[in-house]
Amino acid sequence: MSTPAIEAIGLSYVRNGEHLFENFSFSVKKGSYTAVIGPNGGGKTTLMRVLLGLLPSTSGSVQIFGRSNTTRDVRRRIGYVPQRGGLIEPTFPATSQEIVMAGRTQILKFWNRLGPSDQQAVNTAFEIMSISHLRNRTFASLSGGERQRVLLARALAAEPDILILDEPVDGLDPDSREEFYEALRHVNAQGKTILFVSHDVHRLAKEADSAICLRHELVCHGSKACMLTGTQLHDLYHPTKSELIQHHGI
Amino acid sequence: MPTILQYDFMIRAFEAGLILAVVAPTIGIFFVVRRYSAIADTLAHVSLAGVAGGLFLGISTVWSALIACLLAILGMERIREQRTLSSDTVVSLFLFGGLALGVVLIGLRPAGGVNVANYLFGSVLTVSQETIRQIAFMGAVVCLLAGIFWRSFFAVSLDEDVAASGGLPVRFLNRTLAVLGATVIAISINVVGVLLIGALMVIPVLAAEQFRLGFRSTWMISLSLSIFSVVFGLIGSYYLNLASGASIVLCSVVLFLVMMGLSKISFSNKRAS
Repeated sequence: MSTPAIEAIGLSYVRNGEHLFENFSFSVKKGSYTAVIGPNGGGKTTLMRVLLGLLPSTSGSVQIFGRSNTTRDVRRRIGYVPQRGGLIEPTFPATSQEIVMAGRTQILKFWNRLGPSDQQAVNTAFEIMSISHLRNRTFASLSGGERQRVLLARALAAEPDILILDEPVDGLDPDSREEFYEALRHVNAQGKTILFVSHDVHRLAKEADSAICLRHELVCHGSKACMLTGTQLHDLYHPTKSELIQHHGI
Repeated sequence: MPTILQYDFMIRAFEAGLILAVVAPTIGIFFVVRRYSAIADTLAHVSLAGVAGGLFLGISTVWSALIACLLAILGMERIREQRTLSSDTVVSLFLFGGLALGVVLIGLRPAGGVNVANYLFGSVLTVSQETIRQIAFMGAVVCLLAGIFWRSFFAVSLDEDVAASGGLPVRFLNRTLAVLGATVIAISINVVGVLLIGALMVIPVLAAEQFRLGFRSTWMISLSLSIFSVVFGLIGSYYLNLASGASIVLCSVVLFLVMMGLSKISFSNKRAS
């Protein structure tokens, strides 16, 4: 059996005395397209940040291709597209070309110059996302959909083995969403592992081949069947009274 | 030869000023895009304590200012990491504390010898041949390191989380950038003065940002504006008998206003067409 792309073992995260999630164990197969779904505040983004090594878990560990997610070599293999454009200031003075080229930084040494192979990877990222016409446009002048495609291109420029996307299609119009999903299908077909956090459950049920459903606890993981079961989906997004009291003090 | 260049002290001032005109926006651009301008200003105020300490101990004010800035950076980082105080509080503490400590140390010095206003507002008369050598050496080191880390500084400035998730050593890069900022401030004291150094790092970049271009273009325009400000600021200070720092910064403020006007005209023309 091949090593999983991502493996979480007994993962817990406690913030201000509150368990955002507790004792999660799951694995994500290499080359899979996994949907991560759950209600707001259910711990999805925190889980992604723990998987990325941006937050230390309270207990448990994360393995990427069998190695700890804290090592730089492992992290270089991950591309990340954060929620709502991430931390980029809307007025940041940078062109799409500069932003996508920044994606190569994680795989180069500080003193390395960008060579022909780097330029090729950047060009390919632009082509996959069909945004070559945006190369010289500044980030500030782009629409929300265009910005998300540039940010995915930045992640792709690093030629990662794993892509982690946190609600990347939120706020996009239907055409932009379609183009985004199309690009991801292409990327997944090339063998890259995709972890996609979204509330777009019905659409992801078509796109993904596996799922992680969570609401402070792991409701289910593995087959995407759990996303499609009406009762489970209803339960996932409608917590019981006792759960509301436990997690939100309501 | 123009009379201004017949004096050695003015030639030295131009040499020092042109080095600063290159290094200040080169590091300043990263402070501006990350909204860290207040940190540059704080380090500048702390450098007064370093200058006063250097004068008190009779050592080079460039080196003493650099040491004070480095200690301030490490102190600010340490307190911030403990998360007991907000970033704004930490910055304010160091800004006012540094200024107050500088004033106290200056007061403790025996009277006479040095005009402290020269260090507050800059004076070309304080630029010795030895100062030029120090500025040239430190400026070269800053440019070299900025060149090596340019892409990484850019990636971290763009989005720290994405940079960290890709394995970039964000903490190391942030500290390196802060040390380079401290170095620029330390070498700017004689020409621009501690109260106005922050402006030289920030205003040419803000002026260049008005054109809403890419990062590289913004940097190159800010370099041009910075060189223009230094040259015309020094000429103005010589003929009008003004403090060099104030004259340079006023030039950069005027350029900022001109750039803002030009960009508004350019964007309204684009909209109209």
